[in-house]
Amino acid sequence: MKFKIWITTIILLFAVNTYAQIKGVVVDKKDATALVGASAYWLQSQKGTTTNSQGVFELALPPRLPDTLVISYIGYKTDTLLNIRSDKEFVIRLTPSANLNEAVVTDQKSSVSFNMIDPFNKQSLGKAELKKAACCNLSESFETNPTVDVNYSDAISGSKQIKMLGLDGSYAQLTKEMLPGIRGLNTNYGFSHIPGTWVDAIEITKGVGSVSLGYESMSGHINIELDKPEKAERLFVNLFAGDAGRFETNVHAKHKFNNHWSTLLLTHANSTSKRNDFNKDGFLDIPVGYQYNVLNRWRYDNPGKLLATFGIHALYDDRMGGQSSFKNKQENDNRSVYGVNINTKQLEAFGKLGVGFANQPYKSLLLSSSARVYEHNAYYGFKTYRGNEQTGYVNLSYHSILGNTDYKFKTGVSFLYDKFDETYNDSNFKRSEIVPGIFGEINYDIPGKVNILAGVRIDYHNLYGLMINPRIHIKYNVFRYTAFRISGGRGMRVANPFIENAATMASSRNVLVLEKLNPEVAWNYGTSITHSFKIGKGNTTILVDFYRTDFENQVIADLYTNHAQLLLYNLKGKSYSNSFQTEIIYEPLKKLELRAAYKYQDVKATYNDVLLTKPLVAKHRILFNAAYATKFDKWKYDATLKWFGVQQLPSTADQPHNLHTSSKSPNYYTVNAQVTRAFKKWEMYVGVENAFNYMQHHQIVDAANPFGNHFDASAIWGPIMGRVIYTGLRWNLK
Amino acid sequence: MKKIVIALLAMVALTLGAKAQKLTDSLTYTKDSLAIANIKTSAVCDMCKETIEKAMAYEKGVKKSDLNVESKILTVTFDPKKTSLEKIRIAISKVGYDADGLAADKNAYDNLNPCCKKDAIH
Repeated sequence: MKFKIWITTIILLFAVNTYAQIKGVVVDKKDATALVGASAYWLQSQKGTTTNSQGVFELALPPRLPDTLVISYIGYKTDTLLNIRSDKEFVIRLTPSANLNEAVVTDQKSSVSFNMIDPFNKQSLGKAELKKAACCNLSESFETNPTVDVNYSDAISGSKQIKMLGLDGSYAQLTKEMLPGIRGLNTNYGFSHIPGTWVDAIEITKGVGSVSLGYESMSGHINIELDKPEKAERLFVNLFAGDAGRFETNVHAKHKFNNHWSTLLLTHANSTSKRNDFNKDGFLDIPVGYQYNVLNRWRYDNPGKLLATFGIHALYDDRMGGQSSFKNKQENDNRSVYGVNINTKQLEAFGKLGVGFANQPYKSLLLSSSARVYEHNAYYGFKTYRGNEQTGYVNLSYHSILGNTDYKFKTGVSFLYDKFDETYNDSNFKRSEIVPGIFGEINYDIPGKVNILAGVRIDYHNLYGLMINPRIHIKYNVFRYTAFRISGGRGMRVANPFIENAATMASSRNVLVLEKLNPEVAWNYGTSITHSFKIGKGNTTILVDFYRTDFENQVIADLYTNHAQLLLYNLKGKSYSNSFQTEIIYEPLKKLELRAAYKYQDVKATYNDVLLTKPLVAKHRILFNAAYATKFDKWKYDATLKWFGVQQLPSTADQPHNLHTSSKSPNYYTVNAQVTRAFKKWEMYVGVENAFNYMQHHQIVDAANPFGNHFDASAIWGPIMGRVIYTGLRWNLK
Repeated sequence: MKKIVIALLAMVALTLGAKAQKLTDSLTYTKDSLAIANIKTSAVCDMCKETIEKAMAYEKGVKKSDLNVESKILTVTFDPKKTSLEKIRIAISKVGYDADGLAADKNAYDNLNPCCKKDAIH
């Protein structure tokens, strides 16, 4: 009986029927010349093909209609034909455009899109997905995503850290529109510096990224696309209020001057004034404070010839936390009340220039650059930290084909200047990095079949010498709806151990740098299978992947050896992460989407000659998400359940007996939910975070003596805030 | 001079009024006194259908709407106490489509996806 069920299931999974076809010809809008090798694919079923030498393509109708047909060709604006219901013939006229960003196609309906086209194991989170957790900034944007984990880094600073493949966020490369994003000294706080409403899409790639973006990605690559003048609403207002005393305002405004010029202004302000102490340990759970954040960007578009975007971004953020009664620095300085203040300032300018070539739409030249000044001043009790970073980055790349569009290549040069000046307590650390580099990448792409991306980059680092990082990504469609991928490559980065371990500033631990720290180097290998099929009428996608990261060198942050110290030294021995994840997305109805994911993470490193599990990483994690919308999205419902398995905690063995805590955390789960009601021009949402009010009650070791030798607020494994209810509204003018 | 202008404006207003009156004649009523109107639009594709029907779903007093892409006729059922044919036409115009005699709002039309413009090839 069981056997029969299995057989039936397998047959159902792989049942591939023959369907009617659609036929189309893709031509240039201006001179109507046929475009050879343009790709045409179904957005939902992800099946695709390319045009032949006459610009003609034939494509079977997908099993589920209506579907959206996407036509794209390098150097042209991607065109989408929505809601195709039956077999037809089309003439598709593409408009040339300078190829500035590799086009990202995200469906307006499906909030998460997996892809069967890219050589990368990549997921895109669109606006719809990001709205599922309306609060507040980038660190909350991953609430409904199983790949990226977000946790409070300590019980005091309110900063959140991400993890990918069980490794700290700093091992993933975070770019903002493919330019340096959250890195260097803002690794820890950068997530709260990008307001959620500013984000247009987030692309999450597991494993090493493209060599064209630098040498830094090891565990993955997260790219954040901000709102753009060509897509944004004329005016957008978002107001948010949470019962934990958090208020946020976002106002976006765009203006189109003429066919070429347009601009977009993004503004954000937030404040937390309420003093929350959910677990009644005498310490604020998150600091009080405020942030002002402004970004203004401009776009000049001369289709097919030139595309330029540039802008500036300015930020000011000030937070105060510590003991609940803390009011001013004086109290902290005379050690009567433990206080924390974190002040960050940032000014950034960025620009991109894309040049197209007449009659050669597959060729383009792209210049990207950014410059940033970042300042971070903080005190935690009597510990002080001042950090100053100046970064300049330029990347010039040339994209073209070899013979025909089956073979594409990208080559270029990059230059990074990064100047650090950090003062931790009374020690000063300075360094300037000057890194010129070259890279080349070849892409062999037969859409719907095979896609191979191989690249190498060579950088010369003024402090660490020659660095060579090769990377390869292969995608192969085993069946029409089954993509198999493997990837491998090397990545490296220079650690900023003080800021990356900022959580330990909220403890009595002294930082001890035992030796000269070398760059961190890791090899990452991964494999994945994405398979789409039908259960009844519902689209279903299953993803299974495994990634292994092996460190050649790592800056070990040792919290085990001594409770009073954070020891920093180079890896001697093994350090690795094994991460296995499986995810299933099922749409039983048109507007109902169910998601379930399981993740296993085994992260170990050699601490003082002993291979130990990295603390504060849950070995097992589960996520469920359900989203339902009524017709025309008038009502939207979302709920997410997350389960976290047992985590290893930093040792308290050498603490006094009365301060011993368990060496393992319990397992726990949290539930978030949100309801959104849309009206003609505005929408309103109400939501709850941590609905069942689960908390890590004992967050701070020796909370009674914050200036003592045993105080530690950095061992955080669970929610530090209880149930929070929030509400807000969005208003827009198209 | 002023009088002439006023007179001219009055004439224009009257003409428009008469025209509107004539179009309103096409209303039929259901048993529960809801009005049904057929409005000729400039929709050309399924995406247009989606846009217009969505706009109708969010329009006060509109109970039901269905656009036939072939004939470009939008059939709207609405509560005449809450809205009027005129208001519905304005709503269609505001999302970028002609509605009977009322031309599409220029700004909205310019923002339409190229496949939804009147000259798009399908």
